[in-house]
Amino acid sequence: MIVRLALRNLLRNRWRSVLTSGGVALAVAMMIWTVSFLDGWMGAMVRGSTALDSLQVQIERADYVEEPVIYRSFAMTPQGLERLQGEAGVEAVSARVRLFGLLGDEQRSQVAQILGVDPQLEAQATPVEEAVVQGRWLSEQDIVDGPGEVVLGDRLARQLKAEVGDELVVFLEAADGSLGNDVFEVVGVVRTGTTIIDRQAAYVHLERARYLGALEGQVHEVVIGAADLSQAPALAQRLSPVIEEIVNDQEMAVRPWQEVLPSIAEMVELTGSSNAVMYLIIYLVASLGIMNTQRMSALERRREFGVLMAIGVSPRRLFWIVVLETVVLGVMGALLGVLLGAGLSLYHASAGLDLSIFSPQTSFSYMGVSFDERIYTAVELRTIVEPAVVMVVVSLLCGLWPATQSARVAIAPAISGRS
Amino acid sequence: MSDSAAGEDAPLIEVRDLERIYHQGEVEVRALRGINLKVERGEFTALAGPSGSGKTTLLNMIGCLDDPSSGEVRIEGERVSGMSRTQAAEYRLGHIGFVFQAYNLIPVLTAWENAEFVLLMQGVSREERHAILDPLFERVGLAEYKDRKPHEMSGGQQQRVAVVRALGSRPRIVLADEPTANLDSATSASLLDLMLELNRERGVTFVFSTHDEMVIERARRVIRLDSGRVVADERDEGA
Repeated sequence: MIVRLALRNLLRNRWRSVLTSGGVALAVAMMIWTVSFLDGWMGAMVRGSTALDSLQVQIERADYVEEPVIYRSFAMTPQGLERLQGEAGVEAVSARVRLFGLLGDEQRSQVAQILGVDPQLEAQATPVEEAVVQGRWLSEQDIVDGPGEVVLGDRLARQLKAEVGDELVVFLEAADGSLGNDVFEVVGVVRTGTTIIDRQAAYVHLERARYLGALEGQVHEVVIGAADLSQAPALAQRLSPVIEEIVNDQEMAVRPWQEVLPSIAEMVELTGSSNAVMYLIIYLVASLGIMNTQRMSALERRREFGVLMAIGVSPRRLFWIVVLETVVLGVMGALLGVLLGAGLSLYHASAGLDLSIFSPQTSFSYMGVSFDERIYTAVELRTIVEPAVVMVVVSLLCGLWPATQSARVAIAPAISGRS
Repeated sequence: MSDSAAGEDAPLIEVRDLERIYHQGEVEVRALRGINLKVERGEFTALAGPSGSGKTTLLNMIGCLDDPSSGEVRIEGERVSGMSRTQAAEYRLGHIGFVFQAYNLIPVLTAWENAEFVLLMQGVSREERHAILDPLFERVGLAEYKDRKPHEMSGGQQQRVAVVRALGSRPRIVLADEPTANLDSATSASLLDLMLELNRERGVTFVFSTHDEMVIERARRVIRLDSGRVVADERDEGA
């Protein structure tokens, strides 16, 4: 009967209840969608930032992290890479030699990062092969005699006015102090959207780079692709003892992307904090709406509350009647909000949100990472359930004040309509 | 003598030196000025007097709806004035039925649900609720109106539902504050007759306030109040 009474009281002023529940629903839907959107965007940003260069976990010599000089390399065998690949949570592995040198021809030259990679492993670990816009990716086997193959970042290629088929020369100081030089033929150009790659990267075969830098059997870094971005720190921790066994003569640093790219990690964290502020504002506005509705409703029914207490309803029971009404309002609004918010978020998770309506460009760049014009929302159970549950709790809290006021009503004056 | 020991022999209602002072700003209003009275079981008593004489205030004190400034109210020897709000609510639920001037039915509940509400709070089973309320609805002539909401009934019908609600809880006392004030004379007479018959049939004690002479004529005892004092206590010895 108490539940029936509460429900019918809510139906008594349908419009007020509908508007209040509608407000709650909008607030919940807004939170679900906004958080899904920001999670999706942040996810895209982290993936974009880590996909090509650092990946999710990066392994280097500890002193190389402090100062990346050419001779701070470590030995890595194909067996060592295979062992890392076999660890749980590891999706892909790629070993690189990273050299800095002068790249160019007789007309012009540029400082470039020569990235010595295993073409197959690099293509598995990163989307570099899909980013080829001219020519092709490195062939599986290097050409032993004659010029080696090089794939350039598109801005670097533009600066050098280099095209597929052109020959370029590299000069650099090798690890042993000698002058390393080699000739490469441009076989492809990549446009990744990651500024540092597009401006500076020159991909060559790993063995060729080793030879050029006098780094036989050595690498500067091993990058690990992980399935779950958020689990990178845990994965890094698990890989630390493994790498210590593989590379036992050096002090190694196994760093998750959060350490490699602290600015991106801070950005993600900042988004979390701004979400919290947004939550707070939305909850505050919604709770003021609920509290106002319930207070108005309670004030209008003072006589009725007086009568209920006169016929034997205890103050405590009356308190819970009013709280129950508020919770029902909150639950109805939250459920509607979940339907709306989850529905819209799931739609945008599959269809994506076309940001080209805001800008005529087909892609945009943020913090050195380019984004597609479509952002896909990231929908998780937590994103849906949290706002709804918190809103129900907030509505319960909102009901406490009007309920307390109602339970304290002076019976005799209330019945006579004097209060 | 303890309250419980006194219960059997004590008057049903006993009011001792009851005073109620209200403060309206700096003005002190003495609504009751030392009321003393006793009401025995089965009485049909009217509290009569002009507006402001203290009838409603006295009924509120007897019904534990308000606390006296001094003095006390005892029901069956148990001191009910000064109870906590929760204790008072529990006491009313088990012992006192109310009929109000403005009917005061819960507008979102049907006639049946209004009457059933108190029994539900008393924890009475569904079968028993029907056993109690069905005859009462028959008795007041509203068996066909059980499913109607208050706004779908006339004032007289609503007040009869209020009587069913008051009696359904099987109280010792029914307190009625100006029960006929909003009704026309024919409906008032009919309601009064109904209350009188229920008083005779069920032995329930009725105490009601009124300033309507037609109502006063039907009462078997009339306690007249003026300016917060009892000025006359008349009994119809032939009744």
